[in-house]
Amino acid sequence: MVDIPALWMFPALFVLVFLGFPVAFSMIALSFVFGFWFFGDTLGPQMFSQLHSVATNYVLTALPLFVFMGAALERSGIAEKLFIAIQLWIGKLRGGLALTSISMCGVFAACSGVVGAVETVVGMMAIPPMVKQRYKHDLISGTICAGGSLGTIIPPTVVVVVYGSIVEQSIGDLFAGVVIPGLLMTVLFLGYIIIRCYLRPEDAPAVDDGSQEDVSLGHKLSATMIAIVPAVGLVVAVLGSILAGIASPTEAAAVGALGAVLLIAAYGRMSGAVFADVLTRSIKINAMVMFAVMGGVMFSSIFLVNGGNDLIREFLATFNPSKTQLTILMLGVIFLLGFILDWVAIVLICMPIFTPLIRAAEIDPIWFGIMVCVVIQTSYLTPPVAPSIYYLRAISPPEIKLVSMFKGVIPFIICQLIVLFVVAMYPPTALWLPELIFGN
Amino acid sequence: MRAGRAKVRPVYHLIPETPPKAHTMSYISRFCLATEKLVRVTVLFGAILFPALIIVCVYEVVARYLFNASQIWAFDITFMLHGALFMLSGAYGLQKKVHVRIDVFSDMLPKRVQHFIYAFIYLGCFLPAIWMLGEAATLRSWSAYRTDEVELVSAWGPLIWPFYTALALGTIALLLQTLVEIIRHVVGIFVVDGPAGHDPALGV
Repeated sequence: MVDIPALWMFPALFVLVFLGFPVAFSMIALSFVFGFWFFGDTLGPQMFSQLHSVATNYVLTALPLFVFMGAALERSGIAEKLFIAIQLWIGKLRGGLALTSISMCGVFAACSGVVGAVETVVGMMAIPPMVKQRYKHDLISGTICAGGSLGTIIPPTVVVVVYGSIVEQSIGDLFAGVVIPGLLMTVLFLGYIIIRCYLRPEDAPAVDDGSQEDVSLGHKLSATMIAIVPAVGLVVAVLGSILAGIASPTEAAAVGALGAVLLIAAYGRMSGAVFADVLTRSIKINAMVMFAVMGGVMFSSIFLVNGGNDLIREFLATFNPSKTQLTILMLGVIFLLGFILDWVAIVLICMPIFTPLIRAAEIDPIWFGIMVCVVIQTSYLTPPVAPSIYYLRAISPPEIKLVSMFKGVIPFIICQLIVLFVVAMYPPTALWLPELIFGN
Repeated sequence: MRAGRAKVRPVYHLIPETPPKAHTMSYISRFCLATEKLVRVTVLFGAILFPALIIVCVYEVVARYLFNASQIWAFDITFMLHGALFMLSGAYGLQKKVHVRIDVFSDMLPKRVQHFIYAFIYLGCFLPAIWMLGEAATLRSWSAYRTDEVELVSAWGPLIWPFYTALALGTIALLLQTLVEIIRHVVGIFVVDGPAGHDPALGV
């Protein structure tokens, strides 16, 4: 066993990653070290062929376009309008601001595929009024973090695009698959807030200044039309054209990107500076994700040629796990990695290794992919390396302490685990919609 | 903090060896800044390719449905534009520290130790990887140019060297930026400059 170089690749990766070296570069660096061991001087062309396969991947082309669409919608000023419109409808309920935040995240997550963007945008708007209303700090933190995590699961999400490109599954199938679990999760989040505020009204005091008492239905409807209809319309058009098979995810994303730019112009916010900002941010995020993808592809291919294939075969032959055991094992690994790594790293490290296992055990890759999305969402919330808390700390006032943040996310993690359990026990929650739309 | 720095300054004047050293440092930092400026040119290409990518995709959809004329080149152009875009933005991404890193544990280490570790990893493992990649990409694009190689993915069969050249350029830019990172980290081992807590090379 000791002479199989592949065995050393993962411990080495963890050392580099924990030393704080960028995850994507850690994978590229180790591909070089271990690849040189195997290929010697012919490694260069070998690495170039990996680069070539990533650079010519048509599916991944959708990624910068979805990112661009999200970044553009973020700058269109639609978020403020959405927040006000949703608040008009449900703001007066107990815990209304928290409910508004989650709903807002749900809608905005559909606009923006970028994890983290949703949380920052919604948090910056919702935290100050919630603090002012003397909401319990753990409820504020939990709400914003959990709302932010919806960006991972509500389509279109970049997680799904990356997963689909590695496991070689249709992005349309995956988008359709995450719809029901995504809605279920949003409902659970809302349910938790409603029940908590009903049982303990002092955690989320109602708005009592009477300012929102006399809003006419007409005003509500017009505010909703202006705020929600264009954004939701755009998302429905983008997702709809993918699901209906009219356009490939790449083309639909491009149309969405153009639509988002037109929306900025329609709201009167277009300028050279805004466009440059949207472009810069999209280029940065695209570089971040694509380099991680390239690193992952290089790392896993070197892992497989260096004896990883034999290791996997040996593992299957020795333990002969059942389908259920294997699924639990793989999701367990992803869950545990979620405590320390972020989604890009998890998908890219695990999926190339898991894909042959999934195929061998005939586990449905769509079903598994949906569960991966849910588990990855928990990684977004679980300390110590919780990206959600990292973003939250950047936008929250100092009186909200780290302890209440950690405490606040726990109920929402439980909600996520419930969704995971439901999808695992009852696969049609993930598979019914794709089958309905695309057939078998 | 400012007072602390002001106190340091007279000491530099008292010790004669320090001015040439400071001189060297300024050359190094000027070299780094110039290289970074050069590297940013590549991302400008990327910034041009991005809108082009959007336009090409939208044009294809419009052409297909409105004029019933699917473009033979749309598929190839799309992935080529994106491939070039992401490689050309690689160096910029490194420069702007966009890549995810887990810094909870490494932050506990002293700054100089961190600089030493990163200089070591970049120099020992990452630079050679990008070097080999860049060499392969350059040779590949050169041979594609000399033999008028065409791409075989679709029926269109365009010349492939412009795409390969973009990949090679992106890799070379990344190589230069990696060199700058190494220099910054090596300098960081010996000199702790800037106010406390601020260290661009470590991205804080």
